[in-house]
Amino acid sequence: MEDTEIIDLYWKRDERAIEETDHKYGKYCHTVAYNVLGDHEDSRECVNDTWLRAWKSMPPQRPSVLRAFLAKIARNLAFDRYRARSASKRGGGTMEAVLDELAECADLSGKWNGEELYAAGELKEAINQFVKDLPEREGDLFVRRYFFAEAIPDIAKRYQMTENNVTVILSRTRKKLRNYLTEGGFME
Amino acid sequence: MRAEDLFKAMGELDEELIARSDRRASSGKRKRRGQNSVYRFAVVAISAAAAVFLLLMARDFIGTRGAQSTKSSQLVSQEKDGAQEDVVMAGEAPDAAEAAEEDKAAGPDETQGKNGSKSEAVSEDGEASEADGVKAPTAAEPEAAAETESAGGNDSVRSNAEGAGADSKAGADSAADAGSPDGEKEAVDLMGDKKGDYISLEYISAEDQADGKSTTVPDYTPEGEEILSRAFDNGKPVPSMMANTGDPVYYVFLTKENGKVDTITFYENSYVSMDNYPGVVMRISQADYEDVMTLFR
Repeated sequence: MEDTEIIDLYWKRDERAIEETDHKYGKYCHTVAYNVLGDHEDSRECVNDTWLRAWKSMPPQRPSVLRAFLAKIARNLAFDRYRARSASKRGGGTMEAVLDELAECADLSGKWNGEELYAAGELKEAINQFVKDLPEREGDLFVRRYFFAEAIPDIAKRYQMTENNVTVILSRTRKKLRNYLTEGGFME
Repeated sequence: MRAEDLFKAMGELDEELIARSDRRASSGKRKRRGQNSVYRFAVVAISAAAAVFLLLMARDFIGTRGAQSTKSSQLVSQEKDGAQEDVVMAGEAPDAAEAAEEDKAAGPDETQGKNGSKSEAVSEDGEASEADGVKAPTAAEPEAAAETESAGGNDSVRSNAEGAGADSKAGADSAADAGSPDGEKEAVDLMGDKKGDYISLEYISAEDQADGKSTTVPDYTPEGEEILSRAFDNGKPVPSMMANTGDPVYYVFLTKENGKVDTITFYENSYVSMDNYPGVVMRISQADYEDVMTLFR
């Protein structure tokens, strides 16, 4: 079924919308959630929550790209779940590595309140602009790593690059982000 | 601002940006799959080519070995026959040897003249030849024999002996047909060059053998000898694993002096197997195969 037809089903409040979404994007959303959580059971629950969130979001929303819209929901729910889980225990895995890497770009002084910036929408606008301005290959690697939380070897395989090359490009991009955020006044 | 805030902010990326990254990632995956398919196909093709090459090498190797064995046994047989002929020529038919020498030394015209006289002599003795069951030589045979005498061929020496004169012919024949005390050709002589290895030849059809019937001894005929000789000369050795032999049609049993029996099996698809060459069958031409089948019917 086409994405527009699925979205129409959501708008008509037809429960077949969730069946069709699960059929078409269930596996994809599971992968997105699994990249963050690293656990199949948690990922399955996360995917179910994604359908619920999508049901609540449409209407009023009518996403231009349903796949990306669902990926965002799944990813953010997975991250919430990850944070709730990691409050009690912190383990290794890809997500830990991703956060460690992003910590290079974060302001560790605690002067800036990320929650407030996020709520104001300023930070997400800045990040969107930053990714848009990146060269194609760098932008893709950045999204795969920091949006989808994919492992370095998977990214390297996907783009037929060496792991070292991916690591180096990501490192440079993080430096750029740090400078960008500093220049934008998000960090000192 | 913590790393978690940054990661969370990344979660609000524009959907178009996410979709674009997804599309590129998917196309890269498809491209990689295509390349993998090409690689797999290349590996399979190269492996198949290597396997075929090795099979052909193995076939050639087995074929060469089989041919060498046959050739060496032929050489031994020829040497043996040649030695016997030398004795006969020295002891019983000196005229024949001299005549052959003269033929060799003489020019073509002279040889032709002598051949003519030889033919006459043979035809004068035609009755005796028929009674002995010996193939009546043609004019061409003595000439060929004179040219190839040094090779020690059984037939050629015999022809020389025949051509030299009617008196010496009977003695030469009896000497050439070693193994038949009275000078008559026997069924085993059908084996041609390999006859020295065996003392009797019998055959039976697969059908008759299944019915419990007994074997038959074939009649010797010059045509039969020629047919068998030609069929085996023209045959090509093939590894049995590569042959579609079909069912056995005739079995030929060859008995050695020590009582050991070798079996030759003729199959329905022009294949022949021999005990002596396990794992190898001989493919003979369809025409030769039909001729051989006529011999046994």
